[in-house]
Amino acid sequence: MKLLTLLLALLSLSIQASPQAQKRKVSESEVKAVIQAVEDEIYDYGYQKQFYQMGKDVGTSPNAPRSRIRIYVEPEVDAEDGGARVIYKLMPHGEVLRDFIIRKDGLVVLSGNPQNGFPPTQEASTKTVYMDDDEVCQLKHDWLKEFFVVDDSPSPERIQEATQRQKARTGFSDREYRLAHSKKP
Amino acid sequence: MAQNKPQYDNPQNEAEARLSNVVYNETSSLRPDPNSKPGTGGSAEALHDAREGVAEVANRVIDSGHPGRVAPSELNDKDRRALSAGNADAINAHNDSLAAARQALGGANNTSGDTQYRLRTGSVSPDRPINGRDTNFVYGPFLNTIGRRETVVFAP
Repeated sequence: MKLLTLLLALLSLSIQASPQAQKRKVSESEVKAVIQAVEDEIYDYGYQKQFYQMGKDVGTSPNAPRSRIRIYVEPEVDAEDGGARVIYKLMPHGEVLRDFIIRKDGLVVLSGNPQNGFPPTQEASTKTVYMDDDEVCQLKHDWLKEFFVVDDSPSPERIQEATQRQKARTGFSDREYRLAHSKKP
Repeated sequence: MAQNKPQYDNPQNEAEARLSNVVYNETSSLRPDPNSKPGTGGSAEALHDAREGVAEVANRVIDSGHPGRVAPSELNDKDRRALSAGNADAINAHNDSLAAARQALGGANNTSGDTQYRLRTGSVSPDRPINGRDTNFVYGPFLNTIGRRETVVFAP
């Protein structure tokens, strides 16, 4: 009986002591890769016009606005899969929280598909409006504060780069799909 | 030469089509954990059970007039292309989602009348309540398409 009790206690201890995922600090280049993934997705889905009058206009001409928008990046990533989370405004959906991973080739892949609309059921890619306000404020306070920039009229080269990287990330480019099916963003 | 391309099962009516699309949009990113044994947490059987639970709850939510509280009932461009291109993972996920939708529309109630579910990232406890309600069923963890772990949790 004593042996059984001891075994149960050891089992309980081993369950409680099961290690949390190992974390490491996210690097500057990885944060840039997160920002690149966010911007590429915007251009590939053709969302850039939806950012009109969002954030600060850092463009050089009123005819070519460039919106500078805040983005909050979790400062530590999972040491195993390079996974963490990010919060930013993704128009026309609103502010979103998304999981991402940093792949071995340096590309960042965001969780979820914008066309699914970030429903409350998907906690790895959802609108922050569905989250607890205090929790969102705390995350924004604790996470790295950076900016991304959305060009209202990106160059064809920039769009092509975004398309190619999106295909490398997910095997799919919404822009190419739209062009093939004569659809608008 | 024999064709090994998976067959895309067809819904029998609009309700099946819509509900299976909801289940697909919610769960198509999930894959069974290859290290999971049959019948255990992250297995293919568990993933089907999770899909059936999602179908049951989504059906209740839609029936009560709140389709916006779950994923859309139309497929997005990426998934439409994956299915039409014969992507095996997409077809398996859609067939399994359709089977789950049929069970739910046939009156299955394995979720004890639950009205909420979440696909939850592995770093968040499955015990964390949903809108103040304690979770009562947990499936997974499964792997998602970006390689992270996710559970499917339910609550009243």
